[in-house]
Amino acid sequence: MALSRRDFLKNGIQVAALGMVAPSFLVKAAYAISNDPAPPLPGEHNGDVPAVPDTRSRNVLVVLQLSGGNDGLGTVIPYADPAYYRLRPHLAVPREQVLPLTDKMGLNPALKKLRDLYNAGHVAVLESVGYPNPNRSHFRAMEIWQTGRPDVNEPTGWLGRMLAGDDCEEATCRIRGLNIGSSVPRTLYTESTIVPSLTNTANYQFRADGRFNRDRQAQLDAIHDVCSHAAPGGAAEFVRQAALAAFDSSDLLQHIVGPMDQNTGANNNPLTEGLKLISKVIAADVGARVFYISIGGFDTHAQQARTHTQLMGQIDDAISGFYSTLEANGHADRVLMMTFSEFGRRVAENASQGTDHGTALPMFLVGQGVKGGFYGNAPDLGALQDGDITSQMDFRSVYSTILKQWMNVDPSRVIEGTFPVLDFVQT
Amino acid sequence: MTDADRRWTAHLLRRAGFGWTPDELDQYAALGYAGAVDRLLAPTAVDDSDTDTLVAVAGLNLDAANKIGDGQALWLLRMLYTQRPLQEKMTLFWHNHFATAIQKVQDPNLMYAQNNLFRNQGLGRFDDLLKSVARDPAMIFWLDNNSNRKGHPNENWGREVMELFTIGIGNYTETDVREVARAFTGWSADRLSGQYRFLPNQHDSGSKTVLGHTGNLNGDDVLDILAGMRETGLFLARKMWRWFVNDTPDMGGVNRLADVYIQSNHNISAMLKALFLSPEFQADANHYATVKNPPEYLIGVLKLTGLGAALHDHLTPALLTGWARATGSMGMVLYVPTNVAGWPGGRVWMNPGTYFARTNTVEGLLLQPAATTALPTVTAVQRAGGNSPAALVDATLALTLPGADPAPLHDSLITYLGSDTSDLKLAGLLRLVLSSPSYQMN
Repeated sequence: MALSRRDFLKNGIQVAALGMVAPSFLVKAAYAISNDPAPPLPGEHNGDVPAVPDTRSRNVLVVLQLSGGNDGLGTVIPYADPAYYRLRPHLAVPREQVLPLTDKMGLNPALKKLRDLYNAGHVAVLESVGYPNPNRSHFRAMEIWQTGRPDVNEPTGWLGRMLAGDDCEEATCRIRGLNIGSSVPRTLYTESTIVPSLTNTANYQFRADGRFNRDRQAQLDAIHDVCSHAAPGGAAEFVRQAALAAFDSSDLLQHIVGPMDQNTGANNNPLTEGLKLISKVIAADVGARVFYISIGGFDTHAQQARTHTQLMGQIDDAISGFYSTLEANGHADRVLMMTFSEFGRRVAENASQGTDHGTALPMFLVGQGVKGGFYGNAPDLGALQDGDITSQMDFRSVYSTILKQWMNVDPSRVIEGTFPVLDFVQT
Repeated sequence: MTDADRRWTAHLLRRAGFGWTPDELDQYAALGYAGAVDRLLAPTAVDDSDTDTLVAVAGLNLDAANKIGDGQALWLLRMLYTQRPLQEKMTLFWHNHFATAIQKVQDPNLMYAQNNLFRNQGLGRFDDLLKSVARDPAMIFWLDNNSNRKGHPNENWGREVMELFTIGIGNYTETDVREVARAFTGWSADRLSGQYRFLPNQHDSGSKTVLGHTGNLNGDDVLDILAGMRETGLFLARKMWRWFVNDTPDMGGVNRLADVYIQSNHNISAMLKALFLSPEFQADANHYATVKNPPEYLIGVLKLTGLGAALHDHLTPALLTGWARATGSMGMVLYVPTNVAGWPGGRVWMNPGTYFARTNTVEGLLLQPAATTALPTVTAVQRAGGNSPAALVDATLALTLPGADPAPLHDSLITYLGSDTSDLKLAGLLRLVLSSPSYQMN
């Protein structure tokens, strides 16, 4: 099908109506930026297009993935337990350096700003989160956390399923979420969900410089036209949708993020940079509800102490900086950040002053919408299973709680089975 | 040569190599399809000294810790100019299989040595390859086997050798992981010399039980057990299927390849030959059915447009490391796989961000200094199409997407061209084709 309608705005934002309906929220957002009144969209008067809900009131979830298996015991530390010091002769953090949260548990000394947020009531620490028969393979364990299915091999991700059924119709929403990185994680994947993935906005546009500059608009029109022909299905159709999503979201993201910090690749904490980009998109309030960002390096089989301290410092800076930005912009009350990792690490250290793959571990939930505090008990290091910590709560309970209490999504639509809803969200 | 030969030879060169220059396609097609398969499978029978010379004089070096960009560039140079495309494709296949990343290995020379290991042994017997990888210093540092010592096993290699390199998850227990780790205690490498070394004092020579076999097993014994299992044949067959045929391995086809693995005494080339000659490989449903991976895209474009040939005598380190950054922006940083399982591949290559990386890379390539005269492709198109927009579009599509359905592109491209048939406009036309969803498919 060829283009049915085109709009060219004065400021250069192009909004193309592809297929039967325009990406309506994009049109509105684009006009909001241009200060021109939005023209009626096809079908808007006769009710063919469902009304776009007021996005201002909608809560946002930001997921921070700690890849490689984060050492839970070195993150939230059972500083009152002699077993911890016995099992970790080289790696244990000295008691006097731990930042106490309760009389038994405290934070890694590099998490000072997170401790301040905790003291202000904006951090929930969930202790020993896991699932039955824990898997110690990076890939399978990551898959389990990303898909929400420990029992079967599920191709789609839990966040993808949440987005796919969200009230914003698939054909009408292009920026439903945003991933920072060059490839989309399984967790955001469904056959029909396309989430923009980017590392910086400078490259997130159709470039035409030098001798092609004059020709840019003609090329854009042509490639749009090419992409408007449905492919026979399968991977080819997926590629076409991704290209369309690229065109649809590019100008909008350029305007939201602006000429920002194009050279900030030099910053040595890419996590901070990624979260800065996320905070700008959140502040622009264009309907995106899920943001995803990862940091790697947690697979500390050897010489763990230095690496882990450095990583803790990075997430401390990044999370606290992100929170401050949101607070300054007035969005801290509608953003909840969740951290997770595919597994914690073996309780006893190994001979390389590192730790091998383990099981249950703590999660952080950060935001004004959480009920701050410590959830669960100190892990019982006297009752290990195969040398690993027994889980106290199921990660699907955490997901279900976020879905129901924060995202206003029926958990049964996303999570197989029923899990207790926890009490860490302000209601 | 029949049209069918040409169509399937083009398919073969896209999958088993990194695309083709028009001349290369002619040469391989002239051998007939089966002849082309045989030629790909006998790399040492083809002289590739020109590529070796290019690598030697490229002005790239691996001696500084931050020089992995040079290592990536050297590899892309090989991919582009090699006369042994399948050997190079399998080198990438094994990098993805035995996924090792520079961050932990640190020394680019070790990554390069591992790369040569894959190149030299990637088409032979799997057992030999596996045993070399188990002694490869980059792998040893990557999976911490240098700290796997008697009485203090480090399980990293012990787990991954079964889960990711041979039999796959579900075919071993946690006890097997611990026992395999014991069998590899003392298999170490020396940071200074960059050489493998066995430390007898660190080796646990007690009795172990691995997958039902009990005895004083050492690392090689374990690798013999693993390589001899049909599960390994199945695991490799499934991966080859995803890499060469489509994203949804057909169990019938995978079982046939596993049979070949066993019957051929674990010969990788025998599996590949069976794969390329299978009806599934040459099925219409699998024609242009997978998403090109980043080197398939970048190298394919350089070959197809004639830019690779035009740049042959004008290569600079800056140009080559620029290509390495380009595949990185498309989602594949060579020597930095996503994780120990390699790159997920398939559709995951494509998202709005990587789509822009592709189209913008092409835009940059068409502006290369060496393309000061008309692009070779543009010249060829002009020769075939003259001044008729429709004929120019037809010629462009025939050259770039042989055997593909022209319908999604044809009319839009004619509209784009209008009456402007200048070199610049034809280069723009080429950019559009290379940016189309059709061309992203392999």
